[in-house]
Amino acid sequence: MTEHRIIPLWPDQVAPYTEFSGGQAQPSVKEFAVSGASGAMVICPGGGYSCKVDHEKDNIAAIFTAAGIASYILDYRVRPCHPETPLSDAKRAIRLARSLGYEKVGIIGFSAGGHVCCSAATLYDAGDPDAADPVERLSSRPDAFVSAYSVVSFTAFRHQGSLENLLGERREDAALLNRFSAELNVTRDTPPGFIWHSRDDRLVPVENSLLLAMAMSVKGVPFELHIFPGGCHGAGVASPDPRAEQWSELCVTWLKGLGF
Amino acid sequence: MDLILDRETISLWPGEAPYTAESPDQRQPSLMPYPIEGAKGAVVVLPGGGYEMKADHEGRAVAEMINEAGVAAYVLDYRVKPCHYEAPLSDAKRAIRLVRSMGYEKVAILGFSAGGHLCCAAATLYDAGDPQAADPVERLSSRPDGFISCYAVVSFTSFRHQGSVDALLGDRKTDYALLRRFSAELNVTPDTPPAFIWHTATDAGVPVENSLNLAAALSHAGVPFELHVFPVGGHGLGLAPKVPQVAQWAGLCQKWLLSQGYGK
Repeated sequence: MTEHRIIPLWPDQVAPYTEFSGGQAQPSVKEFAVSGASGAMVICPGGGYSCKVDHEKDNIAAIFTAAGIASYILDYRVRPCHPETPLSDAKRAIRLARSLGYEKVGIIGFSAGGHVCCSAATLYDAGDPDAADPVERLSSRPDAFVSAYSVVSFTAFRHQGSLENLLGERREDAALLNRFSAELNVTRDTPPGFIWHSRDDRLVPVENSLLLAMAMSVKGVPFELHIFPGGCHGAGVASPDPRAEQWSELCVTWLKGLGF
Repeated sequence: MDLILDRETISLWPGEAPYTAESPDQRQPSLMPYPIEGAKGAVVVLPGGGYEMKADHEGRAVAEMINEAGVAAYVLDYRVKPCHYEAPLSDAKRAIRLVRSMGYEKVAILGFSAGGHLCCAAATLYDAGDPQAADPVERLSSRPDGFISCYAVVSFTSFRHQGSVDALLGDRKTDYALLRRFSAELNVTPDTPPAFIWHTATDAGVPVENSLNLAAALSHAGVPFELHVFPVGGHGLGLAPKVPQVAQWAGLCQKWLLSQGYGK
């Protein structure tokens, strides 16, 4: 049995927004190293910003391990937290993975974890060259992102539960709703995206992925999109519709095409 | 022996096709059959070509790919410019009825580019057949049981491919009612058959928005669909033998056909 390192995101520091986080543990990543891997993926499990579901963790890492790609399962903070907390955790995880020497660092997220992922893919920064902490000097822009039945938008076809858990009392703050609607924030500089969803998803409407794809197309950002007819919501790797399981093979092919 | 030499085309109509007078210098529309013994389903294949011709690489090779899945295929030689704007759709509808009359349980339609436009038109502008018709084929429904839209010109209103609009509509290319009639995303209903749709994100001829808007309309109407957009490849690849990433569509399509009951 391989031991997997648990790496705290901010060792020897207090994580940002700790005072709003209701005593949650310091965010961390669980490492699935692969010898010689040039690329790594940060994995954001879903759970409506109230938990992180188990079926979108180790079995997702196993897909990447088999493909020769390292992965880091992100234990990001959820409700109760400041609205910026999960994004700050994701950005830090990308910087941290980058500091470990990978040439390519991507991010994948499922459902509300997909919301974290799409936020990280659109609300990145170049890093602070004056930071004392060398990790903070690195860019948080992922080299690619994989959006799996994501809550893309807090404005159109939104998943109200995720919105309420992330924003709390600020759930009607229009500026925040726009900030956390990735389809509104896509630019020419947005990294390439691999997007998939099930057509019969009753929790997070497939329109979330269609709107994201349209925004990417308008800006000329490369993307790949797969909508499967079945699979419902939260399929992870073990779907009620075996055809939805094809996403992982398609995704690995896509990542390899990008040099992961 | 090349079996293709043994194939004989099947005329769509026993006599003269509708709109023949308005469609000068055209062959009578016909089907090239690629039957499969024991197949429950068949697919009518519409090659693209901007309503000006029919591309060779979107016909026979595609029929053979469908045959590989144990599904019958019939490549339609539909009429193109110069023709009446209803002539291609009348050919596609007749092709569905005729293939249905051969006894298949399921009949789908598949089209590329402008052939995809025709495919989407057939999938939205079908009729139940005329129970009073003298010709028994005309009594059958033209509603396909499914449709496969490959980098299709879905719309004549948004993100449209002007060449296809001009070739199909001719002098009536600015007729608003016709432009809407031939924009499938505007005509999707809950009764529209299930769809398999694919496109490339880098299609400079027919923007990917054609397929995205179709998917959004199907989703809104609650119609089952599968959609694949590949990040590379451009327009008009057919089976995409030289672009492996895009070539994945054929396997996905075969699985979709089998899941819908078209196989043996």
